[in-house]
Amino acid sequence: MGAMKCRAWIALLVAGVLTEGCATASLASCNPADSTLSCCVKQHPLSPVDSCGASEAEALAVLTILKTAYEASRLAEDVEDGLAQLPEWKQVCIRNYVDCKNQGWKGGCYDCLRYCEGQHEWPFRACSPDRRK
Amino acid sequence: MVEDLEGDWHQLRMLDNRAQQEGTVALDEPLRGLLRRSGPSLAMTTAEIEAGLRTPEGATALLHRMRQRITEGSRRIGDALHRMYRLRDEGDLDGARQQMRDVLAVEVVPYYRELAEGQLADLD
Repeated sequence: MGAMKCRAWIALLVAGVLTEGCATASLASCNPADSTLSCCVKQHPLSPVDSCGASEAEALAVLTILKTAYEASRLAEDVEDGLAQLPEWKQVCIRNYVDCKNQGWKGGCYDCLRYCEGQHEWPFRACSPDRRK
Repeated sequence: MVEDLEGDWHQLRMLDNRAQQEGTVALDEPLRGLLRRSGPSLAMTTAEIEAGLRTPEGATALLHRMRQRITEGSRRIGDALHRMYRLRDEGDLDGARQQMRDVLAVEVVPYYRELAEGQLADLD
């Protein structure tokens, strides 16, 4: 168990390793609340359909819940401390992603996060605050 | 797709990335077209653009300056928005507005200016 699977899981869910380590390995392990399916997907995040017999929709649903849980842990009060270990450009991508989600920016926040990861800058034409009025 | 929404700016990023790695960029017709087309969106004057298009070295430098405006503007507005939200949530609307005014004081890229103006208007 442990480090390798945790790393693979995070690599998948955080789209190409936005974090350098596995500070919260517990997110990758099964707990009593997990269904058989979600436990299986946690254990085989790179092959949820093949290994778990899940449909793509089921796999996506479980991975989305896991991703949200991971992101929520980053949104906790001490998120600034957690982010401080990352290179600044990664911190900026994550910060913009959090604002995109929390402030309801127009555009696909997660797609923009992936783009930011590749280009090291947030694509404001694709994802930006909308007008309220 | 994000690349489609970013349009010419995405092309500028890709070309500048390559130019930074290879030291230069091929001054061909597609590049001329891209630089001429996207210049106004980055507040570059026609004179500036045409001067840059005389040589490959000039084009490489122009491309880099244009990319820098995209990158710096992205950083600037993102930082300002984040601070604005925090100040707004703390009830400091004047402070929140000042974040957008600070952007408008220095930003030349029309798209980023419009973002700042829109958020400023929404704070009223």
